[in-house]
Amino acid sequence: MAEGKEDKIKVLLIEDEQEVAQLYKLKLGLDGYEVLVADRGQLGLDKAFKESPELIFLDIKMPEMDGFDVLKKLRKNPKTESTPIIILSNFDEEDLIEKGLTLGANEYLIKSQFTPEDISAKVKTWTKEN
Amino acid sequence: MVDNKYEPKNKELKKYKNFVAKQIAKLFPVFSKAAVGDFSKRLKLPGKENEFTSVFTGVNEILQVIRGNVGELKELNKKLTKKIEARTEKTTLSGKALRKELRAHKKTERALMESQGRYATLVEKGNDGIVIIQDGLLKFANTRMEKLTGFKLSDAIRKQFTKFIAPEFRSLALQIHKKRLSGKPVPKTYEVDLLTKMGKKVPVEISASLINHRGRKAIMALIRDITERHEAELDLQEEKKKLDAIYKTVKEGLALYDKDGRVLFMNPSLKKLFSVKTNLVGVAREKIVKNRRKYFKYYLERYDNSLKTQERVYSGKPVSNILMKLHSKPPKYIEANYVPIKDKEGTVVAMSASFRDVTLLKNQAEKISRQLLEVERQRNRMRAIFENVEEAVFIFDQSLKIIRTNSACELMAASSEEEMVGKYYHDVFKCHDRFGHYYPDFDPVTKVFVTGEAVPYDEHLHTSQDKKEIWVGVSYNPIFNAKGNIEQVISIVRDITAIKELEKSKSEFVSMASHELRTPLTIVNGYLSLLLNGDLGDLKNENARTNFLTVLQKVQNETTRLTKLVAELLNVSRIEEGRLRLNLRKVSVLNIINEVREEFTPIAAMKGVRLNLDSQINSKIDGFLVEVDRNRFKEILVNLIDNAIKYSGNGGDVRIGCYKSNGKVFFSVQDSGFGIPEKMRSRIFDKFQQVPGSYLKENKGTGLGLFIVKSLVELHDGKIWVDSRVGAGTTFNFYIPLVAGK
Repeated sequence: MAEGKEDKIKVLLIEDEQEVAQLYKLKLGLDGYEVLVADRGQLGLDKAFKESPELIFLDIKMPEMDGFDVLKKLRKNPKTESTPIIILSNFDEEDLIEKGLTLGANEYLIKSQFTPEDISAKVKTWTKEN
Repeated sequence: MVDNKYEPKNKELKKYKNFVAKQIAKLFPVFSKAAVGDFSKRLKLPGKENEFTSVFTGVNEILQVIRGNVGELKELNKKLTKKIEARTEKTTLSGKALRKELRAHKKTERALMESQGRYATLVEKGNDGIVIIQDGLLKFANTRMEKLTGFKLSDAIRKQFTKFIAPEFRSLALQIHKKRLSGKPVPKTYEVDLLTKMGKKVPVEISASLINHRGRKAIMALIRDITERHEAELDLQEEKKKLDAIYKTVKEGLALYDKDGRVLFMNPSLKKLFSVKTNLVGVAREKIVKNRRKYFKYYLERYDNSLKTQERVYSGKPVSNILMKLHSKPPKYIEANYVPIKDKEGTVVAMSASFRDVTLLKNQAEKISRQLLEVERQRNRMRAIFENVEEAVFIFDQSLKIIRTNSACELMAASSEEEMVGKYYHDVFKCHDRFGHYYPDFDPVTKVFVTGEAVPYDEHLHTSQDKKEIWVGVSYNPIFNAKGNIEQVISIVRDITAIKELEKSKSEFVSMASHELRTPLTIVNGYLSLLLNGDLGDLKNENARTNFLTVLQKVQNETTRLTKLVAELLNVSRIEEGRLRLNLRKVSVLNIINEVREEFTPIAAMKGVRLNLDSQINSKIDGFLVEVDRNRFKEILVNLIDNAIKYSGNGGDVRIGCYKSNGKVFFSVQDSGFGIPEKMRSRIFDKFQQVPGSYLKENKGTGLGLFIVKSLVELHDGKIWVDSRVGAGTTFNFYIPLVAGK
C-alpha cells in the first residue's frame, strides 16, 4: 500500500451516481489509491487536466455532458490524450461499447458485472506499467 | 189470183232483202280492216288482266253480235222459208214464181255464207282457240287450237271434248258445260288446264256461250292460253304466301293503319308482343291510345306522345326508334317504327308500324352501362386510393424513369409530379440502403426489370430535396403486359420514420430500464462483495459494526429503489399496453388531500421543506366528489408532491392547491425548485427524462414518475400541464371531472 499522499496512484472517477462513486472510492481507497471523484463531466475534465490522474473511470449517462463528450475532450487534450480511460457504465448496448472504444476508451466495463475488487484489479493492471 | 196472192209475197221478200242488206251493212264496220286490226292489236297485249278481260269481253261481244245477227238472219230465213212453203202450199204458186222466190232465198243464203266466211276468217286468224262442242263432242276447232293442244284438227274433231282437258278439270268442265246447255247460270269465265298431245298441261281461260249449231244447241268456247298469266298469278300467289309467312312468322309486330288511322291489319307477333286482349282490326288508333286498358293486358308506358307521333307520320314523316315499356312480368321494352304509305300523288293513304322487343337489348345495354359504371366506379376508387394512400406510389417505365406519382409522392419528395416525371429515382431522393450503399449503386428498380421478381420489402434512408431525412419501407413490384413482359415497375414507398423512432424509443427504453435496474444492483452487489471479502473488517469485530450497518442501510436503500423501479416499470408496461384498469369509486376530494398531506408532513419536515395547503381549501372543495381509483389517484398526488419536495430542497416551499371550476376539480402542486429549462418542458412527461442537476442526489428518481402521473390523469379523463420558470420553481396543474358537489 502506498504511504505518502504524493506516492499514491491517482485515479479519477467521473461518476454522477453518488452511491456508486462512494462504493468505488471506498474500495480503491482501501486498496491505497488516491481517488478523485467528479459528479459532472465538466468537473471531471477540470480535475483530469489539473491533477493528471494515472487512470480515469468514466461514466456515460450523466447530466449536462455525457461520458462520450468528456472522452472526446480528454483525448483531444495533450495532458490526457494517452491516459488510460475505462468506461464504467451500466449500458451494455453494442453500439455504445463500439462508440466508446472508437472514441479512445481503453476498456468498456459494465458496472453490474464487476465487483469493486475487479475494478481495483483493473486499476492495478492499467497503472502497473508506470 | 196467184199473182195477187204473190204480191204480198214479193213485198215481204223485198222487206227481208232490205233487212238483210241493212244487217250486213251494220256488220261491215265491225269487220272492217281497221276494226279487225285494232282488235288483234288489243289481243296481242300481254299481261294485264283488265286488258285481257276487256279484250275477252270485246271478242265475246263481237261474237254475240255476229251470232245474234247470224242467228236472227237464220231465224228469219227459216221463218221466211216456212212462210214461203206455207204460201206455196196454200196459194199454189206457179213454178216460176217459186223458183224465183227460191233463188232469192239462195241469194240470201249466200249473203249469209259470205258473212259466215268472214266470221270464219276472224275465227281462224284470232289468237284465241275457238271450239264448238255439241253432244259432248268437238265439232269445230280453229287452227289456234292445233297449236295449243298439238292435236291435228282432223284427229280432234268428233272426239269427246273432255279428252283435251286435264283429268282433274274434266268434271268441272263437264258440269259447267251441262249447266250452260240447260240454261242455268254459269260463271262468265273459268279456268282449266288443257292436256296437250304430249301430255303437257296448258292453263287456259274459257269463255263460252250457248249457240245454235246446225239447228241444235251447241257450246262455242273461246279458249285463251293463260300460261303467262297463270305463271304470273302463281308467282303472285307465291309472293303472297311468302309475304303471309313472313307476316306470320316474323318476330316483329306489324300493323297497318288506313288513312283514318284504323287498324287494317296486324300480325300474330304484334298480338303476342303487346298481349292484345281483343281484335284491333277496324279500331281507330286514337281510340286504342285513349283506352289501352281495354285492349292491352298490361299497362303500356310510352315515352313519346303517341298521338303526336301518329300526327307526324300522317303528315308524311317516318318516326323511328320510339321506345315504350310494357309493364308485363317481367316488363318488356318495345321499340316502334312508323312509316307513312303514300300514293302516286304523295298523299298519305296509310301508315305501317313495326314493333320490336328490345328488352334483351335494353337489358344488355343496361347491364353494359352498369358494368361501365362499375368500371368507372372502380377506376375512381382506384384513383382515389392511388391519390389518397399514405404510401407514395412511383411507377417506372423500362427506361427506369418515373412516369407516374401520386400526391403522397409529392409530399414525400416536396416536389410536384411534373417535376418528378421523367427523372430517375435518385434524382428525386438522395437515397441509401441499410448497408450504406447509395442509389443507383443499389438499384431495386433495375433488379425487378432484370429478374422479373418483386422486391417485397426494403428499407432506405431518403433525403429529399428539402434535406428532410426519412426512413422508408419500399416494395417494388413488376407490372406485366398482356405478353407477360414487364412494362412497368411500381414502387410503394412508406414513410417508416415514426416506426423507426418508435423502435428506437422502445430499445432506448429497454436500454434505460436495464441501466436503471443495474445501478442499484451494482451498489448492492458491490457492498456485499466488500463485506464478504472482509474489506470492511472482520464481521466479529465490534468496531467494524458501524461500517456494516452503514453498508446494510445502503443495500436496503438500493433494494427499495430497485423494488420501486420494478413496480414502475410494470406500471409503464401496463399503461402502454392499455392493461391498466381503474377501480372507480366516488371519493371526497378533501379526504384524499388530507390523507396525502398527512403522509407527507413528516417527510417534508425531515427534508426541511414547508408543505403548505391552500388556507381556504376546506371551504373550496368541501363536499366535492370525484370518481377515481383511490390508490391510483393518490399515486398522482404522491408522485407530484414527492417530486416537489425533492426539487424544492432544504428550506424550500411546496404548495398544494385545489379548486372547482366548470365541472372540473383543479389541483396544483408548486415547488420552489430550480425550474425546468424550456427545452426540457415538452419532454418532461416522457419516460426517463429528468431535469438535470436540480435535486439532491439521494432523492434520485426512476425517471418514470411523471410519465405514469400523466397517464393516470388521462385515464381519469383529466389533463396535466406544467408551468415553470427557471429559478422560480415549477407548478404542476391537472384537473379531473367533478361528479358531485356544490
